[in-house]
Amino acid sequence: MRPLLRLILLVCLVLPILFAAAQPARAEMGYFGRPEVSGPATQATAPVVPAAQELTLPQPFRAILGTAIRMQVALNAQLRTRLDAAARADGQVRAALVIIVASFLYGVLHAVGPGHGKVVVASYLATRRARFLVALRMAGIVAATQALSAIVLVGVLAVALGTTGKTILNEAGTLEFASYLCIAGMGLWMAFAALRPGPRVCGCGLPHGHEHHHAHEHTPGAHGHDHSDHEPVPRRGERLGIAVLAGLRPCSGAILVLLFSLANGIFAVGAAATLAMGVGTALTVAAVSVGAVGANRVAAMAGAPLATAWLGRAVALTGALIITAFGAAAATAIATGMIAPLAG
Amino acid sequence: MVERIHFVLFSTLLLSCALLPAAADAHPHVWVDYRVSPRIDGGRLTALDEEWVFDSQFSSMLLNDAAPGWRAGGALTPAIVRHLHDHAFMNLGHYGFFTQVWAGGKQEGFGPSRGFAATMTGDRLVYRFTLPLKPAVDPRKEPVEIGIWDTSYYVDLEPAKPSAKAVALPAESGCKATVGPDRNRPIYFGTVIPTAIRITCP
Repeated sequence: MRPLLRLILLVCLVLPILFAAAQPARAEMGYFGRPEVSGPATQATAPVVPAAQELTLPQPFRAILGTAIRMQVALNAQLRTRLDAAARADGQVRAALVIIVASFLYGVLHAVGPGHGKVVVASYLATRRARFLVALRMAGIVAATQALSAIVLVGVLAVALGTTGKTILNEAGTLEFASYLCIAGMGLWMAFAALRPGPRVCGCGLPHGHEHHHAHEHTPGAHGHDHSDHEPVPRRGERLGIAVLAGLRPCSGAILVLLFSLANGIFAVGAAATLAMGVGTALTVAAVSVGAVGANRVAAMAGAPLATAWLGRAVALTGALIITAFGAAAATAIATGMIAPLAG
Repeated sequence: MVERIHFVLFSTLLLSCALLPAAADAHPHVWVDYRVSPRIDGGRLTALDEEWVFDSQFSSMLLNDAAPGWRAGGALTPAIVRHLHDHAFMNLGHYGFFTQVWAGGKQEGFGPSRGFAATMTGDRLVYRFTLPLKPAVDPRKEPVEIGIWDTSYYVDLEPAKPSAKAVALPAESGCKATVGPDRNRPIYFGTVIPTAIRITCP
């Protein structure tokens, strides 16, 4: 299984480069988050509403997302005012500090919205037995990958190659498309792993040694809740792969802050802000991940009397298939233009 | 068995909740303060003169794409204005310039945009253009509503403050404009209530 995982990760690293080179027949995005249509509009038509946007969220998600958006808009206004101040060189240090704090809070709120790898990581953790520490680590990797992918993308393309902002936003869209394809691939690999005989997959927190658990009751040091010590090493690679792939899709909020700061000659401030935003994003993703692990524990307790290796395997398989479906659906939606890439 | 069903339901619910908002993801990345002057000729609403003032960061990014190395305070040469028109304006025509007009609740159409101009106010880029209504509508017969917003919320368009002054109607028309939240047309998964303009004429 391990060489297969390596192959998938390698393909995922090469794929974005191939995509960037080949430029799939995907409409290029304009400056206003909408695909570019060739030729002038002979008659200005009513705005085309993407199908997905007509959906209305049920409460309480609508209220939560709405509140997060309002707070985010206020923070963003603050962030932009400070970026202006930093660009004008009056009180640069103070402005930079405020930018970093505002970026951190922005990251926390921004990640409440869709995207940012929460679905993938939460699906993974909710259907597998994992320690809370693993949830925190995965959230950290997702956020760090996301911040770094934005800095590297803008750094290499804009600073080194002098690419325009619009092209960079489009390249980021390509990277997003590739990252969703890879997430689907990773999900398939996990599904095969779940079907494979042997003790590799612990499943949905259903302790495969229920008796064994009680036997350790009086020896806290050797307490075997997690059983991760029984697991072969590839699990770690699987988690790392999932977290990196979920974070590979750069956050357009970060890319725009980087492009704006670059246009004002303060790229370093933008990079610092992006990292601060990443720390904020990590907090939100961590909260969701820890919630997923907690939900798994609650479900395991409720289901414990029925716990069988078969059920654990089935739940793990479900998680893998959800991740596959999510990656495939997102990639298809972008490819068919149903949703705008990099709208996040 | 009951526990098992309970458990499966719980997991499904949790995961579908996580998946639900994943369909699309857009936050405002561009901010626009707009002003609009409806043209009323012979009692009929014939066109909208719009003015969009972009936030300073988006302005600087656009201008750096149009003229690499552009810095705030620089001039807008005719070449830059042409570049903005071709690369950062025309495509909006395919999306109705994010402008919608309803007469008696029915959505109206526009002809091609006219008179594009780009200027600077401080470090903010300003677009001006005219959208002719096709056909013209009669605001005396039924109230006319104007909505300037991006349903995907990538661009946050709001009337320039104070919002009552964001709409300039010809005094001789006797028409009145009210600017306020349009609760019947929420956008972005129902989370954002946009601002609409309602015009009533005697």
